[in-house]
Amino acid sequence: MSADAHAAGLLVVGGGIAGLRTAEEARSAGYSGTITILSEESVLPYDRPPLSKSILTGKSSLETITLLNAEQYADLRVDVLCGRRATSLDVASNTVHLDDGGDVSYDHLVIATGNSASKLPFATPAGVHTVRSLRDSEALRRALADAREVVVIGAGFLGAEIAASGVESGCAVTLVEAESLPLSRVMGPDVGAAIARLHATNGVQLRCDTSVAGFRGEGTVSGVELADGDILPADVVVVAVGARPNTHWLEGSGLRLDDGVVCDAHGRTNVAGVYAVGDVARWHDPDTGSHARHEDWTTAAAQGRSVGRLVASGEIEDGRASIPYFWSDQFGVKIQLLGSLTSRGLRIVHENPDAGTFAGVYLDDGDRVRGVLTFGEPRVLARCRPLVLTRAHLDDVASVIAAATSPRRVVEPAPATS
Amino acid sequence: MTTVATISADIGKCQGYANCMVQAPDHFDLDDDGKVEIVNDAPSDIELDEVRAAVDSCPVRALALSS
Repeated sequence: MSADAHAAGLLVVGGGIAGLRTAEEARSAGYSGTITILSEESVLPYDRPPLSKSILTGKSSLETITLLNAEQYADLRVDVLCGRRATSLDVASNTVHLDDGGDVSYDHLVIATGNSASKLPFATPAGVHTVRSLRDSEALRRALADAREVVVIGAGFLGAEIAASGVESGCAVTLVEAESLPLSRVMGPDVGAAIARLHATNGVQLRCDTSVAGFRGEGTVSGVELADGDILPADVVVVAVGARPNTHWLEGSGLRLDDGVVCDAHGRTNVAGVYAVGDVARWHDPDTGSHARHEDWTTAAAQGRSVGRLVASGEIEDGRASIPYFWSDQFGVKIQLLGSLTSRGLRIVHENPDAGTFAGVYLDDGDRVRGVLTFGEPRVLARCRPLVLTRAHLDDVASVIAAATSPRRVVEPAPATS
Repeated sequence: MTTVATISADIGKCQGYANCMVQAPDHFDLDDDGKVEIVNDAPSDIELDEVRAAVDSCPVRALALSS
């Protein structure tokens, strides 16, 4: 089938969760035209969080993480063009040019091209990996199976999850971080210290306050040289130092770009009929008055749904009903954040020192709950949604936490009075 | 007359993300393996919207609600 056969309709460029949700929601909201998802990957859209976890440890495969099968796309009347990449956009003729020389025209265009892994400014020998796609993750899984010593550069959530997966695969893992604690700049020192303890307990060597000076090895990596002169021996190195939005192909198109595709609060770009969603999109946030790019699953899915509906029906969704939710799994511990961080930092409201678990809230200046963070306490997090939804006062938090930490589903007999 | 809706889960697909229990903590939990456990598979009419949101929130579509 020639790409040129797809005339007009809704074109979604990018096969991640934001793109897929856009297509699904547009159809379910009554979009009657053609819907096409263009993906540069050779396989149908899949769930990406397992790329740093269960794909690396071999517990999941393409089959288990594929989101919809061919039959389900046929039922939705969504065409997926795999293995072709958009190379440029012509907004005057409503056309996307492809790497195989073909063109696709559109009535509505949704840009969902995601991120690419940032690289370090050194020559990169074989054995140095990044993880953004299933192909990357499968290559790393194969490398981990034969590796003894692994160095992960960057202790953000991605790096920390990869380090944990490396240990589970039987490797000796060193995690290198430029800051003084993992994730502390984003999540605060309590969470950073807890993640550091979790990794140390599970055998990860953590090297904080350390930057990387280069790679060692001729052709294939043999080690990582640190700025302090130390050399960490390594069979496999993973670079997890952030990501850049995939906007290359949009340069010169007339779309407003600024570390992502700049959008209003509903995903509309400066060009009529063109929208952006997910990691590549920088939406306006009416709460802060500025634009922000989010790189989490829940935001990507919510933006996709909202733009899908907007394209299909012109209807603007009430964003207040959806609360950001973020999670990470490391060494069997679930770290969850519901709502938003605030500048006041985390206030711990519940702790179980024996288990090393805790829960805390992020408060605004009026002592109202804007976010809840739990470390190994999924049942507490699950009960806190109303706190964030209603922006409850700090005074109301204790009773919710108490109810969440009491034994559930077990009716204790009343104590006998004697 | 009320219709009875039933929740079901595909454990093979579940990745333990816990989105469902955040939406509907009275119906979903995680078991010791970190997979979804349906605590109460028959939501009442009042609970139905919350449970539907939970089913829809699953990133990997491991949940279904049938009536």
